[in-house]
Amino acid sequence: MNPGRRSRQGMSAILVVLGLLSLLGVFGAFQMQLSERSRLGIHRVQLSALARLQARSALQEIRAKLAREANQPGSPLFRFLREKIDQPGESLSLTSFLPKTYRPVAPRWGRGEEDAPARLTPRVLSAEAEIRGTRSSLDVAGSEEWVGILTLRAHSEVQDGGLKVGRELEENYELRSLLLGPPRPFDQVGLYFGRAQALLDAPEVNRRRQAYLEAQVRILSKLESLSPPDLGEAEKARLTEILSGLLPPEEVARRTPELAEEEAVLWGPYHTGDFYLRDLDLVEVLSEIEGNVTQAEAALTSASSGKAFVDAVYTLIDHHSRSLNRIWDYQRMFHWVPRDSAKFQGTLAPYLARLSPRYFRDRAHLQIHPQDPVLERWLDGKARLEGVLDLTRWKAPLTLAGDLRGRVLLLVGPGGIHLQDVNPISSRAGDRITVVSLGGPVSIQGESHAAVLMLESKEGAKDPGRIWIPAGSKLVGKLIAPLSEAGDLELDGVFRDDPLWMAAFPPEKTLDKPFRGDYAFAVDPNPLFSRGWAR
Amino acid sequence: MRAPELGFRQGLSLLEVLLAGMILLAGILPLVQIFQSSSQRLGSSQLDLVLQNRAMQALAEASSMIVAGHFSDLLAEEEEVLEKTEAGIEIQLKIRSKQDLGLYQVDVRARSKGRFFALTQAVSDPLVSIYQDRVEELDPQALLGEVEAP
Repeated sequence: MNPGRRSRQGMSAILVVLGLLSLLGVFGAFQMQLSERSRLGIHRVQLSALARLQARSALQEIRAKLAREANQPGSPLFRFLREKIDQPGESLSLTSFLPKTYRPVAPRWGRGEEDAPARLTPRVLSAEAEIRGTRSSLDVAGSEEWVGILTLRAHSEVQDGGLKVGRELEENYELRSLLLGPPRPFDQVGLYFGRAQALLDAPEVNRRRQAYLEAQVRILSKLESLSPPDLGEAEKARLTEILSGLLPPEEVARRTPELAEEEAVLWGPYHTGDFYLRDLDLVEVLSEIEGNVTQAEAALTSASSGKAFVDAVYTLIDHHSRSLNRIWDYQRMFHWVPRDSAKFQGTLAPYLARLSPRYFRDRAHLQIHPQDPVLERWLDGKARLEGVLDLTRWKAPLTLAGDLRGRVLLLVGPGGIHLQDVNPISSRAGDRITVVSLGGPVSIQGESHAAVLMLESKEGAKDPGRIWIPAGSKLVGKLIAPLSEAGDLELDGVFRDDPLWMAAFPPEKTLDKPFRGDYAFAVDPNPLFSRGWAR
Repeated sequence: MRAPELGFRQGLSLLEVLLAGMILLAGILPLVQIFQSSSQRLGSSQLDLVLQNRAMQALAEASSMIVAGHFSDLLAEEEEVLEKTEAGIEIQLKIRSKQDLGLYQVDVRARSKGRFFALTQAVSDPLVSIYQDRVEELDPQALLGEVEAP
């Protein structure tokens, strides 16, 4: 073969190899570019997620700060919100109350040392917060409780070399202004019963009152004939003194008016100390005193000396006055008011809607199930709760015992609730338990500090409207039972009104609106909805 | 003497074959290395993304648990550590309570095949809302301005 031809053949083989390599090179370059683009795409996704996470972390910090300071007396936000509390519908910017800096999410990744400094520093470029879309609750006019939307927005950015990714995240939470206690104006009374007849037989009290008034006249007229002939001057002077202290029967009648016998409500007591709840049944109290009157009358007729006669007169008048005084005292301590009277219609009647299940259901912002760890920890005294909790799904009775932290309004259902020495040491402003039963039984033992509201409900409670405060137990707080029909009241213990549950100044200031400082702002733990954008 | 023919129809010398082979090797080896390195980087990125996603999923689970009150008995600066392994990925969560701020700090780490991903996020305590003092201590006039008429 020709050597020149062989050489050309060798060259062509090398050219084939080089061509092949060039093809591989082109393919490789294409593959590398594709791979690099994929890697960059992945990195971009990674940075995007980090930016979103940084924004979310910032929003959590904002939410924590706002929720905390909204209820922290002395903070500028506390004051700002309460100054604006009567302006639902207005958009309120809270941006000036936001943190100045935010915690970095400090992402670290790779091989080896996990505590190495963060590779990137995501930044929060801006943040905003506003309350918008507020509307009044379904309450009667005048309430400053409302539901609004708290909108939080954060814009964050992550930069890695030339790659910069920005994300904006918005979270919207339900926000409520709530009064965590008995609604105004029922916070002003210690006891309120919508069906006073369940406590007391008013016609019987009136019958006895009339008998006492007649007895006074009868006793006075009989005194002369009963007085012994050997009455000395000193006894006569003392007898005159005793009798001069007596008011004329018509004045006594005026000062102890009859109790209204038609359907009435009762509220009070205008008394700051301990009150024995069994004394609500005035007939029982009068029966005890009447025994003493009978004995005193017997002593009067059998008096053997002038001194014994005067002593018997004094004792009789004293016991007799006590009977009438108890009637007077009862009406001084309590308002016994017919439901159709102008007094009731002009004071409490306009606010009765605030003692309905619907009123409280509208306000519940946390629904808690029986096994919920939040509730378990709260019941163990380990956690603090704040807000209106709906426990009406519970079928079994709930027991509260010992120290419970936070301002909580508990809405309980047919299972009812038992209070055993709740917050027994003292009432503390930061720890206020208000129990609202939708008809389920409420029982109290030991000394419990709480406001108890028993509402009328048709939700199938076993013992609807049953309130049991046995002898030896004590309720410090409020007891409000607007029941008009049902109700099984066993009230033998002690009650003391506690102004801790009063949400405002005395009622002459305003019946309608609680003091603004007593409102709490509750933010729903979960966002209503979230939105995000690439920036 | 003629060089032995290597099956090429036209015949190539051994030298020419060796030369072509060397060129081929010299060209392919770096290409293989480049492919391998590129593939490794892509694989690492993918693994990092998987770890990050898993870490963020764990973070979301921790947030839900915080919202449900699972850590509400943690005292200030106390820490609870949770660990688990799923699909070959070790996950570690450290939840620390910042009670004074109404916050929890959640540190999450995801680890697999020698690589790790870690970050920190703040989660607000949904139930803490400190109501410190009786509000009567404030001057109501200053707060309300004029007291409303009945």
